[in-house]
Amino acid sequence: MLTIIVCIKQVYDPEMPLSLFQLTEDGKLIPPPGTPPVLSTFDENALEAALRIKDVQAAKITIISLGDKLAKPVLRKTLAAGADELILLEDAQFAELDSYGTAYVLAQAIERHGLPDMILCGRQAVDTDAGQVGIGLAERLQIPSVTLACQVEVNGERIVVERISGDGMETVALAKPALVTVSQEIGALRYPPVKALMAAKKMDITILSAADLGLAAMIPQRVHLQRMFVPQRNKSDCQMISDAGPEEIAQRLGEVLIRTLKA
Amino acid sequence: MGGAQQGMEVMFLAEMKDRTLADISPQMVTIAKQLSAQWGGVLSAVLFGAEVGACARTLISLGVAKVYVAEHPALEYYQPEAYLGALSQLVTDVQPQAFLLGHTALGQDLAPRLAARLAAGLVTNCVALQVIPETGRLQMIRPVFGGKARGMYLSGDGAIQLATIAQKVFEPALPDESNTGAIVNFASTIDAGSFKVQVVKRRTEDTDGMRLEEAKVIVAGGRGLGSAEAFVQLKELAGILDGCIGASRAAVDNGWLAGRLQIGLTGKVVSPQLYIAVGISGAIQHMSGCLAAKTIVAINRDPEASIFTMAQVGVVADWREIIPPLVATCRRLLHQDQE
Repeated sequence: MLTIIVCIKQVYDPEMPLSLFQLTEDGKLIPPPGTPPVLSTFDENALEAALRIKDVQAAKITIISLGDKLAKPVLRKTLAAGADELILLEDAQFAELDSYGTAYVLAQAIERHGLPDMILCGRQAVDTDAGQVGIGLAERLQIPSVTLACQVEVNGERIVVERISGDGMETVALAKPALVTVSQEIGALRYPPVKALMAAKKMDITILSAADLGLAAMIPQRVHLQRMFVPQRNKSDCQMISDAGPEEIAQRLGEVLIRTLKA
Repeated sequence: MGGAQQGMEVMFLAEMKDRTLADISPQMVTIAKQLSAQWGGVLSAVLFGAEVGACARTLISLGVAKVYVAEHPALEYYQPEAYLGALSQLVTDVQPQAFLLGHTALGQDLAPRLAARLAAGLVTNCVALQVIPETGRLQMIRPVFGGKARGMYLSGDGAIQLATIAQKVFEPALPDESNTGAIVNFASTIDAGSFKVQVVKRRTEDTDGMRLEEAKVIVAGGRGLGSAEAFVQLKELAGILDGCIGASRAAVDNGWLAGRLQIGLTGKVVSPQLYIAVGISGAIQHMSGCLAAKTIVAINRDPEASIFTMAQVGVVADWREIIPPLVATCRRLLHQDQE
């Protein structure tokens, strides 16, 4: 049976306005207390890609999520949607890892779990937008990888990926095992039926700490996040065209457009 | 990879497009030159492809002291394994202080591979970089939370620091024919037969003959358009103004327009003279793809839409009432000019 691991990150809701966050003295952005995290949307797309494969062939989908203070009810949504197994790598040490450290821990966990036929990740996390953990993980596991998939199929030993390239689309093929990062074009994660949501609440999940993974006291990292800040955005002096009917507004706007183009 | 042996070189990957330098390359020169000056080192570039000689000379005229050149058929199109093999070999030999790539489709795919291969740190989509004089470390600033905030990162000890540079943030360097530099050919062993990822089919999508990144005028539509049919009207306006149409992610997600026309954080970064945003609320994820436009014009029904804090010209109205007479007005005004 085809084995798939999907890596999923929990993040603060990307739609939450920044004004609700508190920016601390030492440059940390803290969300309002009590707001549950959400699954990073591109990782949801990756899970959807896995589920579409499971729709047409026998497959076992394992979710791995890494962090500190993971929101179990939120992550259980992946089981309700159709994943078979949920493994949480949870440790205070995992709270603020850089991309390098994150790929390091994930690789360790996947090696212990056993390398699957395919690993799927979102193209980037919606909070940091760095886009490096997936590929870093593949390099560490020494398996080939493809980015920005908008369609993934598995035919026997071959994985066929439709991906977005700079100026168009590409179809690429590679042998299992491989890692694929998934883009939003693949489609949103299906909504689990209520029954499945109830059932998922009762499923067993695995929680592993740094010590369980046999990780040394210091996880290697490469870059240091000094602080976050909110950029001063100069509000533009927007010249409003108003107080007239549509025809008149269109006339005045048209004049502005043509003038701008000739300037 | 001891820091002591590191040459004081700042190296970047120059990208080509249709056998000339891609837009990002002169922008890369500007920031890489600043960093090499701050470190007191040499600025070098890497060029891959076929017939790269003219581009190498252009880079020298822009102020690059050393251009490493590898010409190989397998390097003409971006193939991750070919590029990664050749680059990691060169970077390991030269041991530059930092290696920069553009935050382009190519750079976003290649940089994380290179960082992992070299066990180096990488910070992507940097909008500001500087060397801290006391420590010689590189400080990098990049957008986080969809562009709503910024993160400030510092390079670690010893290893080479990698960064990708946001598009259209740095002014392109200008050529000066009196600049001199060296072209260094480096042999790279590429065994195309060993590649694990095979490209089965490559399709460049037709964009009505004009690339979004090069358009002088862009008429973009968002959620407020409500349907795919609505883009016909935007297309008409774009046609009259000799421009292209584009879309926000909401419009693409709804299937109204192809993904390649998406502008924003996960789409294209554009800098037209005129950007007409129709039915776009102004989410920062979208705006980070078009804030470099010279003039932004917003048409939106909601007077509170945040786009009005970023646009230079605004109209609060239903686009359905404005676009048709606007098309007529523009057509008339341009016609008058020709007479």
